[in-house]
Amino acid sequence: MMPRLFVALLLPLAARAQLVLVSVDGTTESPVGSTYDFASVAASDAKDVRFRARNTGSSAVTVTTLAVNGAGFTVDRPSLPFVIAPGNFLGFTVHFAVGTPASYSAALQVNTISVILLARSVLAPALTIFPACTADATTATVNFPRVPKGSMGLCNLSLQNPYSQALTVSNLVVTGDAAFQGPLGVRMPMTLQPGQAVTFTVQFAPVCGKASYSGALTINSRTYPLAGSGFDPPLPKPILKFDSAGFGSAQQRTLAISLPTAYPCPASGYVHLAFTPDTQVVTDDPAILFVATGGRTVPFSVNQGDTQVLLGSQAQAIFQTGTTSGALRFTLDAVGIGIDGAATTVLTIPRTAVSIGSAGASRRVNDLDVELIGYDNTYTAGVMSFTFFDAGGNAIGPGAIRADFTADFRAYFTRIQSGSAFVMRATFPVTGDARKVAGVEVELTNAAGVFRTQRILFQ
Amino acid sequence: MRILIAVFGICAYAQPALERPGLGMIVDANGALRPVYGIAGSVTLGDPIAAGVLSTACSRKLCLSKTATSILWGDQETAAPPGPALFALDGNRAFVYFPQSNQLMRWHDGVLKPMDFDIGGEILSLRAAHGRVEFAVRRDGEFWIVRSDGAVLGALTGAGAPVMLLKDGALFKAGDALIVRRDDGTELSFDLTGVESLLPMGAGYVQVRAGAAAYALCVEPEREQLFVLPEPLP
Repeated sequence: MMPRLFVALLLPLAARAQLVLVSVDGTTESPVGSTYDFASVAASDAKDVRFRARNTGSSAVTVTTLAVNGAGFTVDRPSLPFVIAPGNFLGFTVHFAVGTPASYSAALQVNTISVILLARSVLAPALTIFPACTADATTATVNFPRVPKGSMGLCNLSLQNPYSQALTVSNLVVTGDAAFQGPLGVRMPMTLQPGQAVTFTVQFAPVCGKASYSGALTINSRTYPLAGSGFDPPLPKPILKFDSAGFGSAQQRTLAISLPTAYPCPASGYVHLAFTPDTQVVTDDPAILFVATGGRTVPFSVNQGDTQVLLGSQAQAIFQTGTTSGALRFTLDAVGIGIDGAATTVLTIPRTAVSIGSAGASRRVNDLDVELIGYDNTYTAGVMSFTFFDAGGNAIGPGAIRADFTADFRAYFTRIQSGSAFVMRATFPVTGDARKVAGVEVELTNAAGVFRTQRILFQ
Repeated sequence: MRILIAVFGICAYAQPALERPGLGMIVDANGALRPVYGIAGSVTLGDPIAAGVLSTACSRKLCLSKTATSILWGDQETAAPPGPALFALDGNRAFVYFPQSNQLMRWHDGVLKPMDFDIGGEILSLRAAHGRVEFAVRRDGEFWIVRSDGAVLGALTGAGAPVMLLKDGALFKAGDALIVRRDDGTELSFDLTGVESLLPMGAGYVQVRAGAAAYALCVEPEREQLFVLPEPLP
């Protein structure tokens, strides 16, 4: 008989040992002892605490009792009895809400586990949020307006004592992201007389590389979430500097870019070069390009807090002006952030007379060959005259020989669509002794003027 | 005797031939041989016409390129000793020196014929002169111009490598400058840091590689001009 009695006494103890009560904050469980303190709760506010009755044993436990007895406390639980499998738990929430400031207690019973719940309802000051900050009516979140990164936004708030008795504010702190700083303008602790109000400020300074921020403003026992967002401000209108004035064709020039003010965050993008020719003979000029990339685009970057715009990691970028008159357009594309002001700078390449960079002349038995290498950025060349000279420097009759190769040049430019650079070779049949022809001068006319070569000596 | 330029013939025969100007060939940073079109300061690169090019030399008449094991000319190739080569173009012929095997050869129409030579020191450049070949060599840190029989033709005082012999002078690095020194003693200096290699492009231009950038230098007398060559599009 004695052995059976012993077993019967041990069974309830074994069942109790399997059930453990914990409180839950987020995903963190904390063991609950004989008391649990809800701490201070602002009058008219409510506070919920989640609990779990966890079965840590190896056999199922049936919860038959789960109750809270005490003013201001209620429990939200599943219906009973509730069977908790080994390793599983029963979750429930205890809700505390009262209107009258005082200390409160209640008894929480889970099967044989008894816990005393404690709470204090306290007076809380009224918080007023001034524009441009706003309050979320549902979550009580204080929302800051969007602030450019590198700048600071402010939120002005006030605390007022709406009660007929003095109210002490002992805890007024800002926590969370370091972008939130404050409170500024108040000292703790402070006592608010009935009807008295004080104002204070919370700062918000978003940093590079992060867009959304969260924090909390705690006033005594009441906590208000803080939310803010930062954005990359547009790049200040860049200053484009060229190596010197006087733009023309067949040049390699340098472009440097700076900002009028330091940009707060790292930035990057592209400088695009576009070209609109004056002529309709060609639609573009492929020699207009950035030499570093061989194309019409060069990447740019700005280091944090710098005014220097690096072009392909260099302080400057060399570009070619090509051999076509028209408009060069430099456009900055600051990826994702935009530019404050016009992002385009236009350079004009003026129309000029034909330019000849290299000229040669050679003779054969009955022919004279003249070779000219140059460009015509107007695409109107063709009218020429050739004057041949003997060794004494005298023009050889019949004097200037005029020719109009306009159609040939037009056909050539149209065919190659590759700028206006050309090699022209002209052959002149000679009757007589070609060796007596010592030199030639060539005059080339286009819409912008006349170019005359120096005397080209026959080799 | 009166020289008559046939006026009527101008219309019939002086019809001009118009072509796209070119500055020759370059070897880009990826070892591709590319034509260069345009005029000084306004050029574009053509599509690659050969890959794996170690060295090249072009003139108006001839363009030879050396790959690891052959010499390319036009769309043909000739088996050649391994490694890079130094060329001296001479009309439609060329002298070719292979530094890796220390061989000097004569090239004509795709045929390589070995030549005897007696040169001490490190050969840096070749040029053809009156049907013979001349060398720029480095001996004990000094630079000389010598003939294939070893006779010294002159000194390149103040020169540093790389060196390229021109038909009427020499082009070489000197500190942070690139010097064109003519046979008459005149010099032109271009500020350029880090010159690493010099390759004849043809048409009076030399490709200069300095660091990550490539330049073209016109070495024609009184037309000397240095400008940046565009990088090829990726």
